Amino acid sequence: MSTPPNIDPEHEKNGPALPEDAPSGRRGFLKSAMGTMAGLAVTAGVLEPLRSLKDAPSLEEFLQQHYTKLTPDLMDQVLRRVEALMGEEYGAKVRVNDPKPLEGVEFAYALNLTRCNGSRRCVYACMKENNIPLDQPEMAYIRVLEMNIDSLDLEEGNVQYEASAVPREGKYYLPIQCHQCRKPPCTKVCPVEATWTEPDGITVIDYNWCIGCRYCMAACPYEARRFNWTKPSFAADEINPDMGYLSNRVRPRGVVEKCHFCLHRTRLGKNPACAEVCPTGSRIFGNILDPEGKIQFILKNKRVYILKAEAKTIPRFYYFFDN
Amino acid sequence: MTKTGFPTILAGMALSASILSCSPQAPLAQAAALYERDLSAGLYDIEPVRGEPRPLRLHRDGDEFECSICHEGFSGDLGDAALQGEHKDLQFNHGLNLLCLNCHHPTNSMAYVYHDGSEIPDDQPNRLCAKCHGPHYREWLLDIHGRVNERWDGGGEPKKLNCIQCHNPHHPRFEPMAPEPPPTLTRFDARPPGGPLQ
Repeated sequence: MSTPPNIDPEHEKNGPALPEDAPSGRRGFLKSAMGTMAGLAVTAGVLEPLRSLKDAPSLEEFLQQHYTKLTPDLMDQVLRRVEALMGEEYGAKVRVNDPKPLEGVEFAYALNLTRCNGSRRCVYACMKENNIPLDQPEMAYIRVLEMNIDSLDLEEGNVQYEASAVPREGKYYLPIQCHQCRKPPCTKVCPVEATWTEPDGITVIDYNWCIGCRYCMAACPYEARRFNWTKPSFAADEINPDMGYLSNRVRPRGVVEKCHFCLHRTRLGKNPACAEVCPTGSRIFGNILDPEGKIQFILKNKRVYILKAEAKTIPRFYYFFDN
Repeated sequence: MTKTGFPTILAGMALSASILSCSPQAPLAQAAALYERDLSAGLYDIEPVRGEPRPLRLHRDGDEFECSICHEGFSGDLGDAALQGEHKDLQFNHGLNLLCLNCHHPTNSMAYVYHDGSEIPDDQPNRLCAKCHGPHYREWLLDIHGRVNERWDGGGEPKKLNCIQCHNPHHPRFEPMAPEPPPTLTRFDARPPGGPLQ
């Protein structure tokens, strides 16, 4: 076959065109226009099922970067978008903030097992603070185990205890929540780095980056993580409108969540909700780097117990007993 | 597709992305209609179990009586006889501390008594408890004993509770309380055998 007349033999010889040699004029324009049209058609076709899908993420949400890569401007856009979404879905006016870790602060928790009376006030305060629907108590970040007084065997612990009054004879109570470990197994196993430890010691989750694989739940020796099986349902007056992006904003369905030491409160200097509400004052929260602080006093002067120390997670959550 | 076609397809994708993204945004219009929750009352109950501190009074049938109404002329310890009459309903279980005048002032019935016989005003009951409970008092001063509703960083107003806002001085052991309901079983446990996940 003879060469078509409109192909430049020189061009054929020189191989593919470099960008600066890109064909210009009508022919080049038509080519690019066709390419653009094809691109439009392909993308629209691919995204069409997404648009008709209910509860699908918006495109900005879909294309959103990882939390650590968001510039302050982008972060602000994201926060405003989450606020708008809360208004749209729940009819509530909320404020979503993103408080940063404080300099020279590492949070730690101490819980007095001699005083805890198992009243579960912390469990429900946590649920109200962190926007967990009250009809789903299995999602609560805190589990209180009723234990036999002579044993530390967690297998004997009972989460479902019911009583007319606590503490019951021969029992003590062991609340378990995220231990904010210094060597957290949960962040190691995350395939997408959606969970990591912040400089103030709080292990957080980017709920927009989590793919819901639940590896972290399998890795956690404290069973501190919960998976969001359903979209949480709230009336507008049940939502806590003070939200943190990495903490208590309403999580979408299909992501993992857990205790975050109420970082939207604690990074502003307040106590976490569970410590605030504990009627017995068993829960003590503070900065472990403060040599005069409460946490260091307890570590130096009390009998301290670390749950599952053999797991070598080195938690920032300590149990202690009154002498 | 030629090499020049690929970047233009990308451009097309970006263009269509921006078209799609512009479509469903209208939250600002309804912003005024959104429910704004008032958080001034707090999300949860942080009231101490025995409420606000109260002055030293006799509480009977919803009324308060000053102790001096009866105790005007009394002096000295009445022993067990004191737990008759107006005080016969008193639940008294304070370990080895069995005498009224260990705590109450012998002549000024509106005050407590210190080791040396001096008065402790009834709005400072912590000093009275510190007479015997030194270690607990020390830990209370350090915010380690008892509930604290202050900020962890030491800012804001100090809000220390008195001993008697959690402990009944005549029956000081922390009262048992009704627990909140337990968590339900997970949805795996709740589904019927072989039934679908909900």
